[in-house]
Amino acid sequence: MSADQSLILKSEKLKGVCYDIRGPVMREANRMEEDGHRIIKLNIGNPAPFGFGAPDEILQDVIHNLADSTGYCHSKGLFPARKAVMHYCQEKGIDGVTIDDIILGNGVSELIVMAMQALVNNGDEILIPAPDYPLWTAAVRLSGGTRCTTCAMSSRTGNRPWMTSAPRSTTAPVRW
Amino acid sequence: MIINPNNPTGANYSPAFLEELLELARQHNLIVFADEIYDKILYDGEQHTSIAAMADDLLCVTFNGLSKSYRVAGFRAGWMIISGTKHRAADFIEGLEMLASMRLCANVPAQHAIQTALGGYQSINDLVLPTGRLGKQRDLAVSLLNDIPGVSCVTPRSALYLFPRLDPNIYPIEDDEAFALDLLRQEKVLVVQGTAFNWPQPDHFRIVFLPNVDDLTESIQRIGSYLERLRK
Repeated sequence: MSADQSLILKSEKLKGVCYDIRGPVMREANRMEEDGHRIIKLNIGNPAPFGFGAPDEILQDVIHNLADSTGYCHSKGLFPARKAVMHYCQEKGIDGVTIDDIILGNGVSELIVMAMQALVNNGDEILIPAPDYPLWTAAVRLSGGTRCTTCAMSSRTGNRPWMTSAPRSTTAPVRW
Repeated sequence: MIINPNNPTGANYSPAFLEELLELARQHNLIVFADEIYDKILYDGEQHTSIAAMADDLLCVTFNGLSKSYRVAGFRAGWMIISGTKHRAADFIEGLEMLASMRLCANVPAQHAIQTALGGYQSINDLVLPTGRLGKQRDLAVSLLNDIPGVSCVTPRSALYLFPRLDPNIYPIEDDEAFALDLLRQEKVLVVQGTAFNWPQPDHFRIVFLPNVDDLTESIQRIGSYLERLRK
């Protein structure tokens, strides 16, 4: 008996999910690099490869605590780190934030996906201005929601106006 | 959902504009999500306002982290702050806690960076000065791009990106992904097409101004050479 040769497909939940910052153009760039071409990569906001080093003090703290970091911690994160974020909220004038209201994650990206998964039901709409950082739209779609286009920010200044030629949902607030 | 300071435009929204957005959110009883990862990368003395600081009558979820301001993107150290009308959101917060528990916890070594980063010397403040590396590179890149016929680029007030527009009368691009691919193959410069940011027209692209002055000059010259051929 031979094994089933039918194709193995990705989840239909990924239909409409799009993150082109690391899309086909970047794949071509990677292929060209493998062929020995030197590509100047202006595509991702990744400071380190351009010689923007992290502050020494930060690296020293991580190194100093490395041996004590081998176990899991609280699912929302280490207490001192969350406390520091809480103080940051006070600096920014965000009132009433307690340690419990702060969740640490593996970068903002993980938390965006987590927040959308926790909130969005199939068919829910999230208002996302255009242009956007596309992870937001991708996370909304992955969660079964719809990106509700859109409050256009002017491409020139990033501010207003309130209208766009982009398609918009019929249920979106009129002024958005 | 707002990204402030904005990626890709580099806008930093004024309190008056945020108030207008909040008015809309109040009318429609919306939850506010604010992505503020660039809140410390501000030029020309700009000040950042967290929308959550203006809206304790709404549920706000604010996102931030160390990746950009402290140049440790690989650490993956970020956070989410829930503020405002939390009492209405107990069930949603339970959902967040459930998902946080399912991945057990965030990478622990990187969490040790957070306290020092937020409390220590803020070296980003030096980088964004007109004499700082980011400030200088921003000004150079904007000026070089605006020197190319049919290219217009607003000086960003924040973040790490430029989002120049290509005049469609001069560059009749129909598929901006094909444009980015062609630019890559011909000039070995990798940019991101504007439609990747859900911008509806194929008339923009985004670049970072992180490379040093020499590489930045070289890469924008290459973009200029490519566009010159496109004009002919």
